[in-house]
Amino acid sequence: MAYMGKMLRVNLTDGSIKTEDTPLDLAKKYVGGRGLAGRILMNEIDPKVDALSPENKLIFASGPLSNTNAPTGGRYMVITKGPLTGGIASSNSGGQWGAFLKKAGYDMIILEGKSPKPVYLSVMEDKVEIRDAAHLWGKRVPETTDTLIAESGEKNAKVACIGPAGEKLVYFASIMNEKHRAAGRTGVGAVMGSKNLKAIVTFGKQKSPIPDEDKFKALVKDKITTIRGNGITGEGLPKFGTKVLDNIINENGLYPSYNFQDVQYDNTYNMSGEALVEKGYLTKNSGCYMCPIACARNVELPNGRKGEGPEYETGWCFGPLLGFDDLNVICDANFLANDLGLDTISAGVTISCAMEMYEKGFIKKEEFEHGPELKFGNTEALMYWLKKMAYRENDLADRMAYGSLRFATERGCPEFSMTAKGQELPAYDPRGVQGMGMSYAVGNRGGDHVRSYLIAPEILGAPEKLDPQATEGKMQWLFIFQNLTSVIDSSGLCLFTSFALSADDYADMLNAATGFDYSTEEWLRCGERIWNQERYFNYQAGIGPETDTLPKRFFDEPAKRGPNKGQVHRLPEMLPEYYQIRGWTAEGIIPDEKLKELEIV
Amino acid sequence: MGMTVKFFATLRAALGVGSVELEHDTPMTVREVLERAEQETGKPIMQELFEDDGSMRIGAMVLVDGKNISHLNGLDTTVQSETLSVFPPAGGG
Ligand code: SF4
Repeated sequence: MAYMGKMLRVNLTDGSIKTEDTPLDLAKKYVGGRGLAGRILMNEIDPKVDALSPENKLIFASGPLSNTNAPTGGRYMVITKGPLTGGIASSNSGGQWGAFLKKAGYDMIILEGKSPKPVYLSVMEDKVEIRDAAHLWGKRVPETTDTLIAESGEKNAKVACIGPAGEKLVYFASIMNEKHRAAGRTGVGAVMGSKNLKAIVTFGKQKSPIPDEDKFKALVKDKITTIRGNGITGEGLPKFGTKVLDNIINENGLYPSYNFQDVQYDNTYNMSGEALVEKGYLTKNSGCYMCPIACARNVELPNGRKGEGPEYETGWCFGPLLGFDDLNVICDANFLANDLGLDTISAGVTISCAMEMYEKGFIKKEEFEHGPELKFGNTEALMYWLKKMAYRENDLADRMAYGSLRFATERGCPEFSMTAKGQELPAYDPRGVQGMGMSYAVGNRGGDHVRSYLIAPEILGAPEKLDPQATEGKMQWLFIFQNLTSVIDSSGLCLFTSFALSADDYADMLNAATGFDYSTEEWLRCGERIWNQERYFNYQAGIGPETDTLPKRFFDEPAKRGPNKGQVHRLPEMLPEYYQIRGWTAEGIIPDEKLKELEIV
Repeated sequence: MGMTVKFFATLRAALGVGSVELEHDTPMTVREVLERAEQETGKPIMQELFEDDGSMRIGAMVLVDGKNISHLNGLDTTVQSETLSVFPPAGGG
């Protein structure tokens, strides 16, 4: 049945630890991971609670295919109410941690309350305990990880932890596992910090029970062959990682620079994935648990610093978005953000927002105190202000630590915050890709590229090529991508498999692993249920359809150059159609009948 | 007239050059440009981009001044002095 059948409930206020049965009836409707944990969160908390209060819960959840041989089956998700958007947060991470949660015997961990002092949770196959973390508080991610592996006495134990940014409740703090892998977005690290929980260590050797092992194995073999034979997952990603996108997106004219004031950057090549290889910084590729793609990059800089990354998004927001292209600075800043436990996208876009605010007179020079000016092109500013934000060391950085929207709004210029629903946008300019722009606007966690990656059809041509400027027919694609991605995430697989695999492929693997006999349509229906459930949570949290929009810039300031010159984003043409396809009211509300039909209420 | 053809990702490494400059008297089709580029570099390009049946491989792209030929006239798109950007299968997210 692929589920371990057990989950942990840990109350950090009173220190109690209980084992409960995984609700398999709900798992049949919500798959697992993001879907199932989202549903449990909705059942157990009032969506209006303060995200950083003890009343919020924090759930670490695997999917049914985590800890199986399915390609990329090692993922986990962190589900909670997030501080950045105020809505449902679900951050997905790779590496091995998710598989090891199940090897320890559990599908998920539900954390409640708030510990009176810093602690960490040790989840070993034979023993689960809450331990003192006084000696770890204030420590960065690598030191915390190494210390906890040593303390566990098991060199293969896996650690997910927060850095100083999570402890200081930075609204875009990440949770890092195995040092370099991030459940990055929506501020899940701040929720962990608010509970005084520094880390969770997992280890075990249990296998996930699969009803028909031989059948499952044969299917998996077949899917791996499909992944290896695909141009993107078999060639592009393994050779260059996600960073191969720099030139692609720049040449296609939707590579935001200078806080999205421009749609291309002149010297993109200098910091691109190709340059990383040509300069000899890339030492080797590596991959997550059971991954045949292995898109991760190990990098060593001329200064001797080593680490993983940068991924496409990070390279962009630590470089061209800020007006520079120095690969050394970009990589070093990436390592630093990981060590501090900061989400790179929100950190970079918040700094770019501050740079535009300074340029336009909304930040005074004195506010930098003795630090470097937040000025486009100033490479020295990046590392300095990342550190200041993580530790909230001066007044300016302390305000920036709430994210760009709150920061810019309190200074009267929200238009410089490149966010949707309060979360910073990733590296595709909506003026150059109409469907992807909609994906940000209506996304359940706002500015985000992994909830419905329409770049695949609109730019890369997978599974077929769509015109990025067309609006007709796009909302049907968005609907399908959102639903399918909900199922892929919830099953515990990596989204990158979807460049090669179809909805039928996922349905095959899920049926064989769980023993359910759902049609592909029924699995996609689970995705639709998950999507609506998340939106329903957000609505109850006070985030209504009025937030289904984008920063003004994309409607008022046409793209300055390139193939999309003169284009704006055409949201009003698409939004009514999207609501209609979803079966919502013209105002974007989910009607009661829809909630009943999907068995959400 | 002159035009530039830029190569990226694995194609750049395989060809050993980042771009080629082509001189021509009359407008050419994208197909002719790519064939000329093959002659100039002495290395295969078309087979990296297209399936045997002539369709574009998933993740590959040819852009004319940033516009994908899939939304122009495909390999028959005529060009004069534009810049071509050529990507073998690549992608990510
Ligand atoms: S494709 Fe990349 S991110 Fe996804 S599981 Fe594989 S190595 Fe990890």
